[in-house]
Amino acid sequence: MAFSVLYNLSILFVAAGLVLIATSLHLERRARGFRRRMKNLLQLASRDIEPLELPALAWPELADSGWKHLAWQGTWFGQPVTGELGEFSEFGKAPAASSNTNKISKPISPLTLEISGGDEARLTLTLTHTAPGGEKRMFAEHLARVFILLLETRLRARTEALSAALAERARLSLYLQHDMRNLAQWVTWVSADFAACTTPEALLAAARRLRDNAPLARERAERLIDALGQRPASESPQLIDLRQTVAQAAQLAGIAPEIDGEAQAWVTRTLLARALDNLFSNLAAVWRDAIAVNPHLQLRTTEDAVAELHFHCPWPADSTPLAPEKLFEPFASGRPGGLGLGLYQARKSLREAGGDLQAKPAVSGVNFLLRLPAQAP
Amino acid sequence: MPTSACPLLIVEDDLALAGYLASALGEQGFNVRQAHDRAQALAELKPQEARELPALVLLDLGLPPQPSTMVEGLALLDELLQLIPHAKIIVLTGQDESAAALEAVRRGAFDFLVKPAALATILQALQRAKLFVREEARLAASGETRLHLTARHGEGPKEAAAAAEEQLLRRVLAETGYNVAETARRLGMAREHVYYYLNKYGIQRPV
Repeated sequence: MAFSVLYNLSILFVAAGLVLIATSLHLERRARGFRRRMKNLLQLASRDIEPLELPALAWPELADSGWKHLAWQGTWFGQPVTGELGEFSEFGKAPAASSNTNKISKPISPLTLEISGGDEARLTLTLTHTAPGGEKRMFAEHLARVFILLLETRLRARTEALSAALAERARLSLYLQHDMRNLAQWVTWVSADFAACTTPEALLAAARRLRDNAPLARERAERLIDALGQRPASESPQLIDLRQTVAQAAQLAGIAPEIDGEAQAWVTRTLLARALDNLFSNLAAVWRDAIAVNPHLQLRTTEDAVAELHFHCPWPADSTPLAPEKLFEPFASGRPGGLGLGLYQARKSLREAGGDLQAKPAVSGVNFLLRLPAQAP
Repeated sequence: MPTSACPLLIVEDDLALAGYLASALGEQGFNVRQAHDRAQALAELKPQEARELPALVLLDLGLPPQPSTMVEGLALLDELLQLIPHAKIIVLTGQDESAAALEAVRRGAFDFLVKPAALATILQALQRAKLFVREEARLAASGETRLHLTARHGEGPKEAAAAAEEQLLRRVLAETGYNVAETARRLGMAREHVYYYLNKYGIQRPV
């Protein structure tokens, strides 16, 4: 009797030991796989990868760990972005209760994570796994969280670089010197010119010269004041003739567009000037290189009281066209040597002014649409 | 007192400055053309009917896309010296004085002015440069050419001789409109030798 009990116990212990061995072997295999996938994922951290390219590059490791579907959506420096990888199936849905039995399967809840880089970029990522829980899901979640951390690090690096660049640009330590010296040069010439006038004819010629050049110099001075941050913050919106303002901004950027139509906008003059300056300075070189005739701009006012400026800009000849979501992304430039801040800043200024700048890639370039309120609210 | 027309190219990215200077110098009798960046300046050198190549260039070194550095201006200076070797280039800049002056003069700029420079100073520099253009044209007519050379001592006389050789060839080619036969005749050598030098120094007719 005692022998029989001991025998049964030993069988039980052996069986339990075998189960433990099998479990540890299984767990060890999973841990090995997890270590390998984690190592591969972390290698992405040392590569120069655009943030939005990271999901596709990380996806093989995520899929290998059991994730079946990854979807993301949000805004990327003002542009809406969406994307998905893998196949969305019934994995993510709670199965319906069986009519034959009262048993309800445990629903597989997706893993939803959010990352943000201030107001500039925000993404919501949803990952759907094959398993509702257990060690496989646990390992997979760890991997997913590391992936999210990588993505967030990239995004923050981008937004921090943007802040640094904008702060640097705002101070304009070098650009400012260049512009200030030019303005000082202009003032010197004007005063010397008038001082040297000894006849009424010479005085008239100097006055004509001043009349022709003063608007350009004034724009330059206003830009300097903006850059120095000395402009009074109390400037309020006013009704502005867009045709004249657009023509003047284009002239300052060295282009002479053909403008069709008329429109007025209810906007702060400084913000509009800053937006147009960034926009045209950014596109001027492309227009000069790519178009034999002058660029064509169209102005109109819509029925819902929105002033619109519409135009097409070709891609630079020696550049790779940018994807739609990258058009306004800081540091993403379609122009060799471009900083990639012009369009970003143009839109930022327009949005501050209650308007917007939209861009849609076309076959040969980009169609831009600038929108501003046409009348006081 | 207005001076006789002399083709002058102003390369200045600041439109207000370029416009004012063009107007003031035009009044002084210069035949002024403007360019606001490197590409526009080079486009001004393309042969066109009834238009002379610039004999004088007033060049701002701080040009877009990097107006705070001398990179673009110095690159343009090199190109101008190759394409219009007879032209006198006066560099006008707001960049660091000594560094810019040294580099521009080393490369072959005729003169150097620092912003802010008075209109009278610019005019004086241009008139002096114009005098040199005239005298050098006179020398060229009598079969002589003045060369501007910057030779590094460490490279020895052979390199200096090669630089002089190249510059002389470029000058005469520019004067003859890249006519090889006429260049050979003026230099008193066979056409084959001219082709040899063209190949040696990689000289090509400007497009």
